[in-house]
Amino acid sequence: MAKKQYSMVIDLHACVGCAACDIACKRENNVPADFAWSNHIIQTEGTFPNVKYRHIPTMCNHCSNAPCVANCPTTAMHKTEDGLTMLDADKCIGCRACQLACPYGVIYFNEHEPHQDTPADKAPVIPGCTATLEEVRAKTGVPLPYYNPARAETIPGVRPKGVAEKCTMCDHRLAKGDMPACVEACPAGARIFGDMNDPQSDPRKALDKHAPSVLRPEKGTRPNVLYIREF
Amino acid sequence: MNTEIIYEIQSGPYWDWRVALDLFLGGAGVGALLFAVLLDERFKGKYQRICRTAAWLAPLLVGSGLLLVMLKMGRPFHLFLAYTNFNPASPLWWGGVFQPLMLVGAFVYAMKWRGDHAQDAGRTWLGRLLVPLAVIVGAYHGMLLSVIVARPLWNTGPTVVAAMLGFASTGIAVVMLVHLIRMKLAGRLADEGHVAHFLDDMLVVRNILVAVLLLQLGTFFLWWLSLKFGALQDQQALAVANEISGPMFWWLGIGVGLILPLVLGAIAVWLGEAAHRRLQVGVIGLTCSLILLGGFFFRLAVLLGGQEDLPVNITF
Ligand code: SF4
Ligand code: SF4
Repeated sequence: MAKKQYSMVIDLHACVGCAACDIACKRENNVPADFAWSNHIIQTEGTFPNVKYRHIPTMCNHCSNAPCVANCPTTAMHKTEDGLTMLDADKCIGCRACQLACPYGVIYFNEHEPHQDTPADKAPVIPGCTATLEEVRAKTGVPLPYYNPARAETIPGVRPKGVAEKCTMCDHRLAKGDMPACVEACPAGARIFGDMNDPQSDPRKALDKHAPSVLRPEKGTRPNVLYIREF
Repeated sequence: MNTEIIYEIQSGPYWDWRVALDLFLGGAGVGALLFAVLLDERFKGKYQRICRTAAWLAPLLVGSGLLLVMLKMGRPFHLFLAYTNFNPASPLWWGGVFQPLMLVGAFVYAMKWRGDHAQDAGRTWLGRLLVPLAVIVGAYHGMLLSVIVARPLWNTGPTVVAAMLGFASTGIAVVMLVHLIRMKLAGRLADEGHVAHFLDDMLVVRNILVAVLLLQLGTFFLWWLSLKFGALQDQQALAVANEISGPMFWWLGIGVGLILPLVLGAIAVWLGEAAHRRLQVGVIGLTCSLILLGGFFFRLAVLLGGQEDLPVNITF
C-alpha cells in the first residue's frame, strides 16, 4: 500500500455546479484554452415535470489500478508514493496510449505549440473593440498570456507540443502543505481532500457517514475520487 | 426515460489511419517473415525466389509500419526511452523495443538471400532465431488494442485471435501477390520452374490460406456474438462502432477481405482441376489483392469504431 493515498471526496449534495473549481484549476495549472483538467458532466434525465439534473465534477481519479500507467510504454505515466498518478513530460513520447486507456476522458494531448489561442501582441481580440495584449500588459503590469510560475515547480509550467497532460492534484501545492486549487476555490465546501490512509482525515470521516460511488466501477480502476450524496 | 449527457473532452480519434496501416503492414511483415522461414525449412531452398521475395518484404513492411506509427507520435525520436524505462505491462513497450530489433534482424536475413545459394546454414539459423522475435512483434500488434479495457469493442478475446489470423492471411497474400508481380515483370510466369509445379507445390499454402480465412470468419462471428449479447457497454460499443465504421467493416473487411477471396479460392480449385493454369494465376493474384484490401479496411474500421467515447454513467 502507498504510504499515503491522496484522495478526494466530492459531495454532490453540496456542489452547486458553479464550476469555480474548473476555473481555479485552469488558472493554477496554466491549462490550455481547450483543455479542462477539472471538468464536469451534465446529465439531464426524464420528462417534465419528472426531471433530474446532475452536475458531476470530474478530474483524473488518480486510480489505484490505473490503466493509463499500465499502457504507457515509457513509464512517463506513473504512480507516486502518495498514490497520485503523475505524468513525466520528459519521458512522454506522445503516443496517446494513455488517452485511449483512460475510461474517463481526463487526459489531454498537446497537438500544437502552447498559446495557440493567444492573439498576437499587437492585434486586438476584436478589432476596434478590445485592447491589444500589449496595452493590457502595460496598464495592468501583469504578464500575458496569464502564467502561474508556481506550476513549474514540479512539471513544465506550460506543457510543450507533443506530450500529454492531466490533473496532478496540484502536487506543487501539496508539497507546501496547501490544498489543491479546486478545493480552495469551491464556495460550497463540496470537495473534501486528504489522505485516505489516515483514519482521522476529512475524506475518511466523510466516507464514514456516507456510502461512496465512483465513475465506471465496472472498469476496475479503483478511483481515488469518490462521490457522496446525490442531489 | 430520456437521458442527455454533456461531457466535453478532447475528441478523437486519438489513433488514426497511420496506426491502422502500422497494424496492417507490421502484421503482414511478420506473416511474410514466418512464411519465408517456414517455406525455406519445408522445401529446403526449392523456392528460393519466393523466399527471397518474402524475406525482403518483411523488413520493408515492418519498417514502413514503424515509420508510420512514429509519424503519429508527438515526440517520435524519444522512442528510445522504451529501452531505458521498462513497462512490460504495456504492449506498446514491447512494440517499441522489439519491432526495431526485428526490423534489423529481418533486414540481415533478407541480405542473406542475395545470390543463388539454395542452402545456407547461417541463413537458416538466423531465420529460426527470428521466429520468436516475429511472434513477439505479432503478439504486440495483436494485443495492442485488446488490452485496452476502456474500449469494449477491442477488449475481447476474439480481437486478438482475429488479429493474429489476419497476420497469417495478409502475410501469405502479400508475398504471393508481390511474387506473382515480380514473376510477371521478369517476363516469366514462374522462375521456380514450370508454373504447374509451382502451383501444385503451393497447394499446401492455398489450403492454409483457405483455413485461415474460414477461421477468421468464425472468429468475427464469435466477436459479434460476444458484443451483441454481452454487457450493456458491449452492446453500446457495437452500436456506436456500427454507426461509425459499420459499412467499412462489413462490406470491405468481411465482404471484400473474406467472402470474395473464399469464393475466388473455390474457383481457383475448380480451375486447377481444369488445368487453366494461367487463369488460375490471375485468380490467385486477385484473391490476394482482395485479402490485402479487406485486411487494411478491417483494421481501420475496428480502430476508428472502437475509439468513440461512450457516455460516462454515474451509478448510486
Ligand atoms: S482517471 Fe484516467 S488518467 Fe487518471 S489515473 Fe485513472 S485512468 Fe489514469
Ligand atoms: S502519451 Fe505519453 S504519458 Fe501517455 S502513454 Fe504515451 S508516453 Fe505515456
